[in-house]
Amino acid sequence: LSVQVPAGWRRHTGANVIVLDAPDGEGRIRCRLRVRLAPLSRVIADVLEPARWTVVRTRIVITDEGEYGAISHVAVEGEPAPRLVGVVFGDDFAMVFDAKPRALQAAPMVEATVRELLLRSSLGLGVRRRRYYYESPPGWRAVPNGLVATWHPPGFPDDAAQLVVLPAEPFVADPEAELARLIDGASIVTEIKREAIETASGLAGHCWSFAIRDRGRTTTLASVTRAPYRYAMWLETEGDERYRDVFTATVASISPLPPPGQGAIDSPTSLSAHGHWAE
Amino acid sequence: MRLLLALPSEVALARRGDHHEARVGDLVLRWGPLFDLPDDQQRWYEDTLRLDLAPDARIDVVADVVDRTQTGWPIRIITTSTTGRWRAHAFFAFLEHAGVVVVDAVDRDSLAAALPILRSASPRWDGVVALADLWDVPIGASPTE
Repeated sequence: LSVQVPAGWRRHTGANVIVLDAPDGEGRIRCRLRVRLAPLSRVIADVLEPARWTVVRTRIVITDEGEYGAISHVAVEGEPAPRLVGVVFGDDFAMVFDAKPRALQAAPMVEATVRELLLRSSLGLGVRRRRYYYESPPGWRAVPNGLVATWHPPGFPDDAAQLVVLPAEPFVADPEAELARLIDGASIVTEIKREAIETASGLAGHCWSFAIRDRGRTTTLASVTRAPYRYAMWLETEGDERYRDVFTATVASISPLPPPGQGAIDSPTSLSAHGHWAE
Repeated sequence: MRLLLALPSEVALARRGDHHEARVGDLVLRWGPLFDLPDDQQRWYEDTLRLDLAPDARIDVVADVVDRTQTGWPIRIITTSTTGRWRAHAFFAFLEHAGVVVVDAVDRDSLAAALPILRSASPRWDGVVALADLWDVPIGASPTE
């Protein structure tokens, strides 16, 4: 983990904390290097409570390393200028910047600094198995299991369908070898139907449908790729087609992981299939 | 991980630590977070029935029913009478996790009113499941900005 100290700022180091003081005491940024991964509202609450606060606006961040994050302007009761809470999300932890301008006039300078810190921050995680963005199936609930998400329909367990989203994996080029690996030696009893697919964001790949003997269930598996990653998910049902449209929509919503070197802060209303900055 | 119950809208939910309590008419329902499903479920039932009772308290099991929630999660409901108290313990299994709801009532008949609530139970799993979970505040400017 690394944080670049801005020119002219003074750095103080604690346990998993770096505090940066602006020139002339114009502001202070406290960087917590490793906090438990949690939704943004929980991170902000942990930083600011017991103060009363309101999020004014939030923008999505992509760091130069290709990690996702966010920056929120937060109005804190009793403080003269908005606080800025910046977060970079790792796989199981987050790096958090809590920036506090001394006065309203210092806010633009502090904001510019924390934006730069966010963009240049380094978690050092590199290309690895990791979560990627897709739109959750509406009304379904997921059971977390490490980086894997297993989604169930509202009627689960009576309705025993499941949609399993695997983490993105460093790219594997051969689709047939990929299929063999994903089904892991299961006994397939029907012809494998294969079709080429392309998501709205331009990821290309294949979708395979088949039944597996031991489970007596129908499986549809989709895998799309864009170097350096492969994105795969599958749907398992009791042999019917009910959730095929849910699956198709979820696959179509996959957003490829951002490549390194293209850090940005913007305010997209959607991270979905049209790409990161679709409005 | 939590257990969710569909309670009537007028019911106030009280929190005591990580436990919840709700008063529904004459009934008092209490439940805590989910935990690992015990390997020895019979012992789990027996130990739970004895919680907060004197060690020598006599427990009369008056009903022991296997049921299912509205969506099919298994429940075992054990109704007991102990020193003038009527209780139902609902034991839930959610995949590899377990939950218990204890229902106190003034008499046996009123326990029946708890059944629809118990059948509404569902699990809520903790933890980040998808990247989309992380941006749980509106993206962009707020309406007041």
